[in-house]
Amino acid sequence: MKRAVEIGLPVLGMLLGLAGCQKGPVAPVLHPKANGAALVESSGGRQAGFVGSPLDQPVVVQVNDAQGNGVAGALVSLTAAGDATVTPATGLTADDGTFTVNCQLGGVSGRYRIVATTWDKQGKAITLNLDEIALGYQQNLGRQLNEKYCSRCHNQESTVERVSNYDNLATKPHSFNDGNFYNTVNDADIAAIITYGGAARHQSAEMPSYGGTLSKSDVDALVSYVRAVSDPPYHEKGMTYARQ
Amino acid sequence: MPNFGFSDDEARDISAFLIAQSTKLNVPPPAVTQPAADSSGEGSSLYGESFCASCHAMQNAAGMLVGGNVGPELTRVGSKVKPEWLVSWLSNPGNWSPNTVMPHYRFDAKQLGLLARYLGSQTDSGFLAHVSLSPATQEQIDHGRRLVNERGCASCHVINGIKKPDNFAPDLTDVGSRSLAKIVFVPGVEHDLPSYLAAKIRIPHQFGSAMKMPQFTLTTTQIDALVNALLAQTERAEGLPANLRVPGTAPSDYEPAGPAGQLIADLRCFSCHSINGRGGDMAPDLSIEGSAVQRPWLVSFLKAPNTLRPALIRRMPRFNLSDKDAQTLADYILTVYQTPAFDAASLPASSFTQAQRDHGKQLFYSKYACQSCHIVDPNTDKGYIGPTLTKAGLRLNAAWIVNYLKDPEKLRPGTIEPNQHIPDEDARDLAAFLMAQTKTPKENGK
Ligand code: HEC
Ligand code: HEC
Ligand code: HEC
Ligand code: HEC
Ligand code: HEC
Repeated sequence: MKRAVEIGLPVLGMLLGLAGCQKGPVAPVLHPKANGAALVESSGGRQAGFVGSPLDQPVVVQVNDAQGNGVAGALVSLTAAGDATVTPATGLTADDGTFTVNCQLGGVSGRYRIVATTWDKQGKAITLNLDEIALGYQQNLGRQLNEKYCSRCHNQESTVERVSNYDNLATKPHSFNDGNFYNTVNDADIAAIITYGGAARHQSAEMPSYGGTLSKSDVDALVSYVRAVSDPPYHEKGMTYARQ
Repeated sequence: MPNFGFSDDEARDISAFLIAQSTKLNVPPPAVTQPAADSSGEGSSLYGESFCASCHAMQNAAGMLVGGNVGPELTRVGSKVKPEWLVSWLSNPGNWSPNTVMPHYRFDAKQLGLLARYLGSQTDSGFLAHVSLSPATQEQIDHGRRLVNERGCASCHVINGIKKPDNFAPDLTDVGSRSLAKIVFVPGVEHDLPSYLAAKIRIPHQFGSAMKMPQFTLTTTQIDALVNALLAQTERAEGLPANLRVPGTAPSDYEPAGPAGQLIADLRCFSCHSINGRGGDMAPDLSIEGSAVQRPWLVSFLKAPNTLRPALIRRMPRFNLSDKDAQTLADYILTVYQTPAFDAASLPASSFTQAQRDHGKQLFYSKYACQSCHIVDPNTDKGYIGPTLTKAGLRLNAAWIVNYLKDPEKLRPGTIEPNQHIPDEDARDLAAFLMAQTKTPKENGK
């Protein structure tokens, strides 16, 4: 519907993370009451959500002065890559220097770059890049399974809904977005420890076996989720050919 | 509740009508002991122990909503309800609303005083600052009645003296096949059915200020989902052959019998638990609970429930049950809610040998590392995903443990305990080890 009308060029969707294109109604001209010297992320970067849906948490950026204190009334403008949107796309910072926007992910899985801009006293643009992750169907299934079965042990953060068990473990597992670790492990090995557990692979038995609980396609979904959220990003090796 | 966009006067008149219309209920006021002035700590602990938060949310100091969404948010309830209504409601909600989901807690006069004071102090001074009402006139009341009729409030609410309207809104059964010729478009809306539906849901009154459909607060994604569902309502979908339809499960009208049945109804166990296909999904299914647990544990849990599953965020409320009521409930659960799959009494704890217990301990700590999720020895174990098992031998039946370990999902549907295909012998020895765990909390120094 609306989405299809707005993206005149389907190519734009392919340039995820590269192209920036502003969405929504043209904002009224806003007059900044102050200017900052730096732009930092408060929260909301690197979230993962289902393609085409809004992210759970808002994206919050903060404009600071040279001393690192928040600047109220500074102009911030954000653009999202491809068919992702941020609302409101422009505005003035609150009393504590923060500016809060909601982000809706685009319709293709992958990373969406949000570029936030503010201007210093000389009118020079200061930018900040944030990446958000849109999960495809299989990756999103993996995310749901992770939240139900795995995140209590694999995620160090606790939330109101979920207390982390990470600190209670004798051997510490890796967080699924730890790309420095996971990008060195192949799919089959990840699938194997999920299916057979740590003990079967001479690792800690604290990692239970999930082969009796999860189907093969569930395990594949978990692997695809781990790949999707990895930081630094995972690049599939592809086919390797023998040298002549 | 959607937004009808009423003016201040319209809201005043509707409120005048609703208040004039309400009947006095003849419930004698409950006995209440007025609490001491500095009782808010006690009141808030009682609110906590009663696990009202399993159903109600309140904003915490950081402004975050904490609690369930089965009942209304209580952050500003002191600005909403009258003090005398509040105590009467808390003493037995069923007096006011026979089909309410809220349980009938057995509060005594002191507890009622504490809770009512605590909730009454949950107010918002800014909230009512701009509302000042003079006594209603007959004209206002009549105007209110007209508005309530016109806007179809009675299609969602039961209101004294107002009939539920028939055919208040258009039938949507075939809306997905509606011909575009029958639709009046407004400027700015694409001439196709999906765009029309989305625009109508987003801002109903843009199609005419006399339109009666109220404004809902929906996100773009929710509107997209609704449009998709409506587009599927086509003539073709109606004519689908029976073998392509997925039948929904018929709601169960299961009704437990006798005095225990009355207690289960009065305490609203079904609001949270499901039994034999009826009830909520907030709490564990109780259909075969009688095979799992031992009587003394069950009686004491019903009287003073404690945390079982750390992974759950909702808890069993303390209803202040009498010994007799707790025993009636426990006996009913133990005799009626049994699984036919195995005999719960078939494996007495006395049948285990020390060798089995020792082997079980080794399996628990080494082969399966169950301490990653459970605590048996609070001095060394830290796992906090599954229930604390320090007193597993006082709570569970050995036959249940064995069957549970072989296939956890079968006995506790939806559980996050992984099925590790534990062989019979290992399951038996693990059960032997767990049945030996009978320490009371005092003995572990808690
Ligand atoms: C009870 C805690 C716990 C749960 C629940 C759990 N894990 Fe683990 N997991 C561990 C521990 C501990 C390790 C580390 C094993 C080692 O390095 O010896 C681990 C290791 C792993 C590894 C190997 C790489 C690494 O991080 O060290 C993968 C992959 C993994 N887990 C996936 C999963 C998945 C998928 C789930 C959910 C289906 C899951 N885990 C649930 C505790 C857990
Ligand atoms: C099983 C869920 C449940 C539990 C537990 C529960 N309530 Fe309720 N409560 C409700 C529901 C649902 C309503 C709305 C009225 C109705 O549906 O009949 C309600 C209504 C109320 C109201 C009226 C609020 C209003 O805005 O009209 C108050 C006050 C209240 N509850 C207080 C409590 C307190 C205090 C406790 C704990 C002692 C508690 N409730 C426990 C479900 C629950
Ligand atoms: C689509 C169904 C719907 C319609 C139509 C509707 N309401 Fe409601 N109303 C609700 C729901 C649901 C609640 C409970 C509060 C909530 O969850 O938002 C409620 C709450 C209320 C309350 C507060 C009652 C309490 O005890 O908290 C009042 C008063 C009320 N509605 C009046 C009206 C009037 C007057 C109309 C007609 C103009 C109306 N409602 C139309 C669904 C509806
Ligand atoms: C407000 C919702 C609520 C109501 C009402 C409620 N329960 Fe519970 N109940 C729970 C929750 C949540 C748990 C799980 C607690 C935990 O695991 O820590 C629970 C646990 C239990 C258990 C223990 C299950 C086990 O794991 O062995 C029993 C037995 C039980 N409830 C019986 C009842 C009975 C009987 C009633 C009615 C008299 C009732 N409950 C009413 C929420 C409720
Ligand atoms: C990934 C975490 C995890 C692991 C590993 C784990 N459990 Fe559990 N366990 C749970 C959870 C969660 C529950 C609560 C089950 C429910 O949903 O009712 C539970 C429940 C139990 C219960 C009580 C069952 C009941 O019906 O109340 C026993 C007994 C038990 N586990 C034993 C074990 C043993 C023995 C092991 C090692 C072989 C083990 N568990 C491994 C998470 C775990």
